[in-house]
Amino acid sequence: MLSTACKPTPQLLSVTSMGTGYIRTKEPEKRIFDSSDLPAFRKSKAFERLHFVILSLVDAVKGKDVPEGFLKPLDPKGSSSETNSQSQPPIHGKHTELKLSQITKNILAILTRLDQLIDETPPITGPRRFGNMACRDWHSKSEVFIASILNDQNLSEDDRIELCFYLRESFGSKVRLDYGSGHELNFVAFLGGLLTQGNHFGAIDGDEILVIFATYYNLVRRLILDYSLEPAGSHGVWGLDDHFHFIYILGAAQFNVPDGKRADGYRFVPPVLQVLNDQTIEMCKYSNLYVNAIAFIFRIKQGPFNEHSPILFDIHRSVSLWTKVLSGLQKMYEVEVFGKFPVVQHFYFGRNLYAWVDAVTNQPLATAIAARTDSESESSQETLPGMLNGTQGLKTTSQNISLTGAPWAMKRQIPGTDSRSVRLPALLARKRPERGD
Amino acid sequence: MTVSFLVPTLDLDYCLEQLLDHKPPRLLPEDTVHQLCHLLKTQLLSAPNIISLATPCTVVGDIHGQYHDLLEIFRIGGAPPTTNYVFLGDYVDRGYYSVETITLLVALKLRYPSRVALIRGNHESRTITTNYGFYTEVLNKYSGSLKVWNYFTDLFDYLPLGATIDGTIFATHGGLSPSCQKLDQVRVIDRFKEIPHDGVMADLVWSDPDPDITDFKLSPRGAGYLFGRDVMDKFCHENDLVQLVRAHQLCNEGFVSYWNGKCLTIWSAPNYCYRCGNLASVLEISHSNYALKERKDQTFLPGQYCNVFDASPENTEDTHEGRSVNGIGGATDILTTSLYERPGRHVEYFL
Repeated sequence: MLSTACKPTPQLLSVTSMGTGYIRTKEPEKRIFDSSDLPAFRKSKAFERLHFVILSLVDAVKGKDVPEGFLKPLDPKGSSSETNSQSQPPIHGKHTELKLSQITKNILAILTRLDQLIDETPPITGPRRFGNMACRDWHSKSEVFIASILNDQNLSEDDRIELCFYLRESFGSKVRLDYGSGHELNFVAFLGGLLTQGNHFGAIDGDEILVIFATYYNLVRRLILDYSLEPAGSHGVWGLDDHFHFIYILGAAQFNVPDGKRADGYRFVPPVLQVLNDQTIEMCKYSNLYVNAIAFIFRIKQGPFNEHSPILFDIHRSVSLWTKVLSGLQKMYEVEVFGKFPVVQHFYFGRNLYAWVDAVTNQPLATAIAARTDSESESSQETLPGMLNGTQGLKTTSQNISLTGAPWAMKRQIPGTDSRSVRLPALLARKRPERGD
Repeated sequence: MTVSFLVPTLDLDYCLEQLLDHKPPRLLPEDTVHQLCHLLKTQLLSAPNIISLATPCTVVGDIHGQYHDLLEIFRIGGAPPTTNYVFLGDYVDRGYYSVETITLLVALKLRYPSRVALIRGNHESRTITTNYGFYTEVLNKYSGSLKVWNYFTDLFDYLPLGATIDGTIFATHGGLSPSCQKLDQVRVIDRFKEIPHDGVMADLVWSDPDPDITDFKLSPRGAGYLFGRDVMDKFCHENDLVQLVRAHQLCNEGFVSYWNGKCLTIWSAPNYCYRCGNLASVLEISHSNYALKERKDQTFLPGQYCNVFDASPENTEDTHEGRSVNGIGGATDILTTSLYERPGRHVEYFL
């Protein structure tokens, strides 16, 4: 399969090594296998486009409020989220003066359908370890639904498959039953891809983008609460938030003045130092995503805020300008999301929208693993390796729940079933203590 | 061993006092932590990979820096040295008080060596603590100095990997490994190192039981394995064991029992991450006399009692208005203001 040494470009190696599965499926594929792939990621077209998308979204929402009626009420602690969601279905078009474009309506329709699927897939009652298994069913249903959508857009088949993939990945892990900023990034990729491919970025304004994100966050929070998704992979109190990051960037952008414009008329922007106040939260929790995210934390967490969310607490103790908050959150996003292997390893790369090719030379990039394993089709997980005491592995359906992942997590084999040795990623500094020192 | 590293009992009591008699617990100085860690390292050097313990004892699962809940455990289960404790690892990361938690446990272990046993969990490692919070917490609480993180993570390399209780119960953090059928295979490992990515040592701290399978299966965690009923039975048979007690997985009710109590998961961090709403538990084992009364549908073996508890009320006490958060804005008087009144490190992004 690999062509011989006369091929001049080393990059071709990774193309040929993709194997036939790549041509057949066209689905985005995993390209980041360990932390040594991160520099290549930074050079990729995908990276460039993700940044273009993020900056476009941030610019679009500057100086805007989330239109009234779109962010779902955050019910007080203790009351059942289920009864609330039934009495309060997502309200669309409550305010008729807000004209939504067709594309926004389509996205909202998709998200509303996914929300209905939660109603149709009630959490399983009875004993469980933690995460609710019904979430797996919800994922199955949503996969079927998502595969059938986006037909009516002016999209090529390639783009459609790619967009469906990113949308599917936007709602957390089916296997681990968790949700984190990596899944949030997939939704950004989906929306950005849809808007750029259809050239909608100019046509759709900040209000509509906020409406889309508000509906998305309503849905994700319902998934988190109804199916008790574990805060796995979270840094606990030492991260910005258990699940989200981009919502804070959008919300901080809302409190910024659009570039090159002066705010027309008076617009209330709470001082950064006052954001953790009850009053500010009450006033802004349905119009600003940042405050809304903080209100959500107050809703789900017990204990002192400075203890369970020390990073947010520090921001509001020591930063005074919203421009600083925005740029700080963006810098932090670079480091904590784009720069962290445990997060971006789950971001997959397509052929067109978010491609694993060099942004400058347009050549496919290599991956660390391509050099080692020749052609390993992603679908090989269907056939489980033979197990230790002879029998074939049984399909696990329900019990392997959401868990703390190993930062170096990647596909491996049961020892003794494959001669290929499991390689040790280089990131681990294997420090040996000096004994008895 | 040099004289300077001998810590007199009196000084250990003083350390415990600093932690237990103050609200919030006082951080110990870096040098003191260094001494404590060094002393414990020298003691653990001679400890086997699997230590032998006897009933009665109380087994504690993941704590994850939930210091108030650790104190709650001592309140409901008796404080050392009146109760023998086996801690199954994951003392640090995620919670707000990892430093205080691990310091207290190390001090208790030194003060009552035969009453406290500390086992290594998957979070007792450099890689994991860098990713999941302990590293950041040390930076914040010790004014940007990483010394304490180095002392503790070096100490973690010396912690035993498991324990047998009365020779019939095997206690470890995670679970079984496909590369290990006999406990003796664990006993010969060179454990004094960072936890590797694979192999027996990694599997012991990373694996999970799965009631839906009989065999081994790859774990969705990306490290360790899922093990099923047959694996469990075979392991018990080959090693003359009756039970595996382990931690490592969040449980809504504080514990989960699989296979007629043969594999018991103990989780000791209530309302995990301030929001999961779960209960927690410790397992009290009073004896290991199973001859007479085995039942078909038992959750626990005879002589075992799972003491379930909820989050300590101290978790919701306001720690800020009292100017009392360690390191972060926690100035207690004018002299220490300049030392402690500094924003956390992450704020650098925003300056």
